[in-house]
Amino acid sequence: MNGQLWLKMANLVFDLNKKIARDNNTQVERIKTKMEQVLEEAGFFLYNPTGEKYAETRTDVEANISGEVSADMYITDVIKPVVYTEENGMKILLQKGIVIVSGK
Amino acid sequence: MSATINFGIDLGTTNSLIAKCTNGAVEVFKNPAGHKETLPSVVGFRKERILVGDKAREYIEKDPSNVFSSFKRKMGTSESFFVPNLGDFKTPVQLSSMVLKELKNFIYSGEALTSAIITIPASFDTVQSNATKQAGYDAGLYEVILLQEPVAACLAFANKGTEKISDGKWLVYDFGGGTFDVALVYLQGGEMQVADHEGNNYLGGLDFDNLIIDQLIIPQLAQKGTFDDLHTGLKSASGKYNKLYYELLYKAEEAKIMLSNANSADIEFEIEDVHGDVQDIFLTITRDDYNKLIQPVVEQTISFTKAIIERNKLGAADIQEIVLVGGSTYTPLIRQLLFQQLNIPVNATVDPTTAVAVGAAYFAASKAITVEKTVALATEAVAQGSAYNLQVRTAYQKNSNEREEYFSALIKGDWANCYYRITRDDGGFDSGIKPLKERIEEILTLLPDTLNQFTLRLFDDKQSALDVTVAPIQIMQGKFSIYGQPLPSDICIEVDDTYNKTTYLELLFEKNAILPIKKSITKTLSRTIVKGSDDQLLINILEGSRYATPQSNLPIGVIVIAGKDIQADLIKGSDVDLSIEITESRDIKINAYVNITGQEYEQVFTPTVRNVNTSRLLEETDYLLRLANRNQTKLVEAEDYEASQNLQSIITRLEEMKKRLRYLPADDVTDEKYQLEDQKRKLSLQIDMLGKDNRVREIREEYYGRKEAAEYYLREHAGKEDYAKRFQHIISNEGEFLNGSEATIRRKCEELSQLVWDMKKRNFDYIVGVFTYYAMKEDHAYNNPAKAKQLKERGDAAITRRSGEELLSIVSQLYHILIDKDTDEPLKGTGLG
Repeated sequence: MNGQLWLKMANLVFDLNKKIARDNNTQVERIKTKMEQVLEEAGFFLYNPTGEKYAETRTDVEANISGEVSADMYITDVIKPVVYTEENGMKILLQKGIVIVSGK
Repeated sequence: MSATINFGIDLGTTNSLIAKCTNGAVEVFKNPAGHKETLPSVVGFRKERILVGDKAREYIEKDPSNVFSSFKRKMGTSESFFVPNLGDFKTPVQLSSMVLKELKNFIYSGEALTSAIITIPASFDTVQSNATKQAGYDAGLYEVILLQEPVAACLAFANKGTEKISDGKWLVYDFGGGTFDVALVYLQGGEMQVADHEGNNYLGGLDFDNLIIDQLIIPQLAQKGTFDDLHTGLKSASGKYNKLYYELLYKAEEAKIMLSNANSADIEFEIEDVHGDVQDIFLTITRDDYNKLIQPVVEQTISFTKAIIERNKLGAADIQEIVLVGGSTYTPLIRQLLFQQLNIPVNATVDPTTAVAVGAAYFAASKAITVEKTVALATEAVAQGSAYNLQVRTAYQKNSNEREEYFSALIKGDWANCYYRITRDDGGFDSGIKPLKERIEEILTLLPDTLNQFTLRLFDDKQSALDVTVAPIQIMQGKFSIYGQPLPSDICIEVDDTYNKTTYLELLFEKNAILPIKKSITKTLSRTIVKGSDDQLLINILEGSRYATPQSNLPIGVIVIAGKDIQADLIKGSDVDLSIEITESRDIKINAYVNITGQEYEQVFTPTVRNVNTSRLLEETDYLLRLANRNQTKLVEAEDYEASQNLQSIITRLEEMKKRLRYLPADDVTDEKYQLEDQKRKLSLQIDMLGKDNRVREIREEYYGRKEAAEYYLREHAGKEDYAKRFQHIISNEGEFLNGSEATIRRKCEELSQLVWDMKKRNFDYIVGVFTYYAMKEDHAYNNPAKAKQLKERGDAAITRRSGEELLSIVSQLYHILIDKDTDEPLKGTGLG
């Protein structure tokens, strides 16, 4: 499977994760965890920055700022996850996260 | 040094790109942060920080007085923009030069960009063209050659095909994200020239996204539930659904892209209705709906195109092709309407997003550079770096449990008018370009549980990199704490080697891995555990060397799933999900989920409490006894009497152990089982050592023989599949495993044999040879003679049809029903494969 298809799969697993988190289905959660393991074996590491502080220095995300800009902004929703790959033990950003950012 | 310019830059209104042509092949460089080829032509001045590209674009709507886009439209005018955060003005030339400087960072090879072709719109007059050149010089380029965008696009198409492009007239239809241009290009006697052009600076693909939201999503949504004023709620900054609006903009764009290739696209999202209930919304947009929506916009672009044709008194037959440029031209309706209404062939063979940059690079490869001047510039650049006499002293925390870490540096030397920038090497952090001061400070964002490496670079007043060496900034996040420590030994799980009827260690965590650490794996059952039986499934975690035998490693945690406790048979081949976690204080948490029964087992083992399973200990002792007896025979045969005498003493001690274990109650409360377990490990090591030299020599010879065979077949299958990669994977760490246990080397031998077999079985004649070997055996050599006979007949038929796959399957079935397979002292394994 080529890199783009893996990336598509990573995004789908992320969407699945969002649904599971809401429905609290442990059986599906288990399968999702296995899917994440497969992605990691293929060298794709998903990262969900929900709730983290947002700064303009963060180039791991493309932010859509909702409301007014303020010094204290947080990532309130993640549409697409941050995806890293690994080369020679070092992580490399493969896909920027698409996020919604707003003040507290 | 290259004799030609080679670099081409598309300095676009919405996005910019940089490409290089080397030996006829063009590479479009990618942004090191996020690996996108396009850089938004946007510059933002945020307090002391200058942002260029994606980050600046985020603030276009929120901080419009400090963030600038589409300044290309103002090139060559006297207009300049006041920047409140700077208290100063910036001209379109200065802003463009910042975009060009940012593009220089895309060149990963680090080679200096001193000459380039920069593209300009066909509409640019002399003043605008000169302004573009000035932006290039301000960005540190010594030589700038301009090229009109439609010509660059034609060059990209002309160089793509194998057919020679003949003289004639071409239309370049450029529909980007925010602008539309169409140009008429003449090609005559090898010369290209823009004869006429038309355009609209406020028409682009972004309009399509908004149309999808306004006219397709909102009306459908209104039918699905009761929501507060959707339109205002979405588009007002303080609206209830404002966050959703940004999500929908993104999803509308995704749907638009999907509709270029599919007849329908789905949009899925959640929204809270007036009652406060969260509703899952699932909308489908068909290509027909979408086409109806965008047709009026596309018709406008076609009107511009028709106007050019009519103005130049041309007919459809006078024009060779319409060349498509710009991301919006992926839309099938555009291609369809252009052809239907103009009756001119449409050419979309080159990536429309990169066509202009690619064409500029082709042109650059044909233009000579001024060699003397470039050399002078390179020398000057280095001299400039040392002329500032800059020295940097950094201070920061090397280990951190925080997600952000404070960094500061003291700068000595002539730092006035210089700049600096700190980037994280994985691409997830960029300080932006900031003025250099005597003391610089930055809050660095850290990626969790990893070594974060940052690079600090210094620039002169033109933002050309200065030759100042600063050591990489390395911060380990989350891995060290006051309780944390590296693992002293490998942590492994014991799994069955069903082929050799023994067990071996599979690595979970490598020695020196930093705690805490967690891993989830899925294992397959290697045998069926019958419900209610005395059999058991063992999840045995051990500490020691991954290359040693399991018996000589220290068990640190074991979960036993007994046949008596399971709700149904655990069938061979079914999955067990395992999650193993070691905390900073070395607690080991094992969680096992048996998929087939849905049963879950979890246990935490602390380093102060040792867990010994007596029935497993008995099995292992029994196995060691049989192994020792077999080795004893070999030692006697080899007349190694000294080793034989030592081994006899081990056998005696193992027999004593076995007796003590038989009488040990399962719930024994004394220390005896721990003593016996210790003794077992020591005896196992001793057995391993006695006569090991001879055995290891033999198995190493076998390994080298198999490796040689694999290399032979690899040469035969050069370039096919991923055999070479597999081979490298098997022999990696060769020095280490050849000094490890025999079992490890034996497994490597098997992996090499499997690789050789996989390569051999591509040869039909070879498979026939293997089948013949099994077919020659009598039917009663198989445990099901009737089936063996039938398989042999099917094999003959498969040979006649030359069906290799079928023959392979038959060989496999014959092997499995063969009675006389080599057997050794089996160790009843763990049940995990």
